[in-house]
Amino acid sequence: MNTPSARTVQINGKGCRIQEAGQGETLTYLHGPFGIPKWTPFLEALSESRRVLALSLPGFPGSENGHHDLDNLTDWVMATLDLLEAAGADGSDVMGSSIGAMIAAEIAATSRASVGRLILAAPYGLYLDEDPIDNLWAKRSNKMFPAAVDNVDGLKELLAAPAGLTNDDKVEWEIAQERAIVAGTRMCWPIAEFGLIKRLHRITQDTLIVWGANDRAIPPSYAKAFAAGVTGPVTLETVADAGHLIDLDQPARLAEVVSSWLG
Amino acid sequence: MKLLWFHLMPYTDLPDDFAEKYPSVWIDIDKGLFDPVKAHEMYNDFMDEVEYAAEVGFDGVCFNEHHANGYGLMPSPNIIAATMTRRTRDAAICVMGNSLALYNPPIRVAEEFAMMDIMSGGRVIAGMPVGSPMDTAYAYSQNPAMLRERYYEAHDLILKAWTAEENFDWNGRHYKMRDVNVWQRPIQEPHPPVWIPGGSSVETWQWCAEQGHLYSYLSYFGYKAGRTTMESYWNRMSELGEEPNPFQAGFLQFVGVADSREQAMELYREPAEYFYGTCLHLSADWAVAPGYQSEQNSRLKTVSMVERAAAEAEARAKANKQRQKASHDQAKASGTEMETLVDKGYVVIGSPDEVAEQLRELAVDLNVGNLMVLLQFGNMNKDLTYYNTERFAKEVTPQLAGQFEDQWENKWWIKPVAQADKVTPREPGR
Repeated sequence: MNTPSARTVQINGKGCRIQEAGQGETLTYLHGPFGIPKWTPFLEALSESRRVLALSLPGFPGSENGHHDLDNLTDWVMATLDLLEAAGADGSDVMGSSIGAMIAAEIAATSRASVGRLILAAPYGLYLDEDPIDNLWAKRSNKMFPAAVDNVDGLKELLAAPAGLTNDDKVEWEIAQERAIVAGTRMCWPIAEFGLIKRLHRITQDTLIVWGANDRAIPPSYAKAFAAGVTGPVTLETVADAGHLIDLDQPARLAEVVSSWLG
Repeated sequence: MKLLWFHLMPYTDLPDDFAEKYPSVWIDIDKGLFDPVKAHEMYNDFMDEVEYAAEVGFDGVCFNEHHANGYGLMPSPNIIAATMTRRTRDAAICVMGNSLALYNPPIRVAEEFAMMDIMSGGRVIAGMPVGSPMDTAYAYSQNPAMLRERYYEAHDLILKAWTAEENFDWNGRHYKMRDVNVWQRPIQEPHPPVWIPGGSSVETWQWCAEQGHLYSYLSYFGYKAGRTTMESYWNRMSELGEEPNPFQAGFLQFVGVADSREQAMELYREPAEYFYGTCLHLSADWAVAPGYQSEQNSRLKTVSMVERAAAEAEARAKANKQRQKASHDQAKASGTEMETLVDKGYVVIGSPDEVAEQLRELAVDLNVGNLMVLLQFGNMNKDLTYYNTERFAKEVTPQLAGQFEDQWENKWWIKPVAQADKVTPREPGR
């Protein structure tokens, strides 16, 4: 297994973590609602064929509480652009999952040169009146987890404190997981739609849009809406037996889809 | 001490099987259960009751703000309070809303409080709660992770709008305004007393101390459960070097007065059980929202009042289900029988002397100089409400009124205009 190396960079004066693993062409990864509490089998699989840079956004596990300084989507986009530059990943291929995919799409539209090829795994960012989506962050974990993944036990394991932590560290671990939800809330409450539909046409990059067939957070119908809006060449893929967070439910399958599309 | 008469204005006609059949009294309360014609009668009864309380000599009347809520029919307490500026003469009009971050721009709150203060001749107490997760994050879709920032900024803007001698620009983080001019400034100088209804948050206490505001703990769970919170409040105040002036604290208590404890038990059983069993049928789904609570409070595992109420409702539902499974008896939800409510101190009942004794103990024990009593609760009818109110005013108030008065200065009370300057509203038809 590639053990990722990790470093911290300052974004708006607060630490953000950059994890790196693998060799070859760079793929930058922007995480979903739970962040990257632990290195995942998906990132591991992806790093077998390329250099993966996994960025932890402000407020998410591994990073400090810089989310308190981010008041709107522009702030989040700018912080992510800063982070991308600090990682030396400006212009690399960028993949995002869920809210990370929303940010990736915003960056691709706002700052085209910052993103090479674009991979969107079940992005937030649109709201279709005929197929409305719930507020994921308004759900307690007993409802949020099943909305986010098929494999709830797998998600719980990802979020569980590693063995051997002191009691104080366990509390801080829990707080860090809670903070990720707070940061996502700050970004997305009450509706994660900030006018991306008006900017989608600015995405001229080669784009892969992937959806979990069982996505209960954002119905797969949204894939078509994204594909219709993006100007660049679009490939649409559906991953079977996967919910919203495809990288958690089907890590090997998604890594294969992504790797083969990137070539 | 000050005795204030508090009305929640609960919908009094929820079905008997509400707790079994419906998910929650708040946010997703069934729209079909509301009858506006019945509510016409309820609102008018409630306003009669409040006016009566002022007439029989309560120091103040209190209202609060709730949205999409079956036990609180005042999305805008200002509307009720405004009627009281004309229909009461001396009582403080204590508006324990407005949840500041819900109003944009927040100077609307400054304007309305100022109008009411002027209309009433300087009798308004300006309550400024953050608001519950239900009211703010769910009913009003405010971002719970940003709510407190907005709240603090709105507070600063409102106080400046009341006190600034010149127009000013406000380039805040969340609010941007040019030429702020709340021209009709309040009668009370420099502004009406500010009361902060809050939960058990260390940050709120510290902030109240810094601002010199009154902290008030509005719990439905009575003085026994409130003791820990009020003790922590006073400990924090002492750490901050503040004097333990009881007039800087408020507390809410359900009360039922009768000839005897036995009679009170009988008289107030139905409304109390209706309130705790039906009105407090809350869903835990709406009781928390991410970021509503600070990380510091998460570390301390602080449980808010609504969270507690929701947890109790959930436990009741579960117990009820199990009981129904075990037998087909008419299962009564556990924990909401009158005996339990009285034992736990949620509702204080008894003869006037017994009630006075318990409330004095509460006031001294919790060091609270402003006691807000709920003498109408649940589906209590107008006659019983009048009865409870009158007996309290005539037989309990005289036993309590002098408490703390000669020891402490009350810096958090209204400063109305002189009696001679008070305008008397015209009687209808004259």
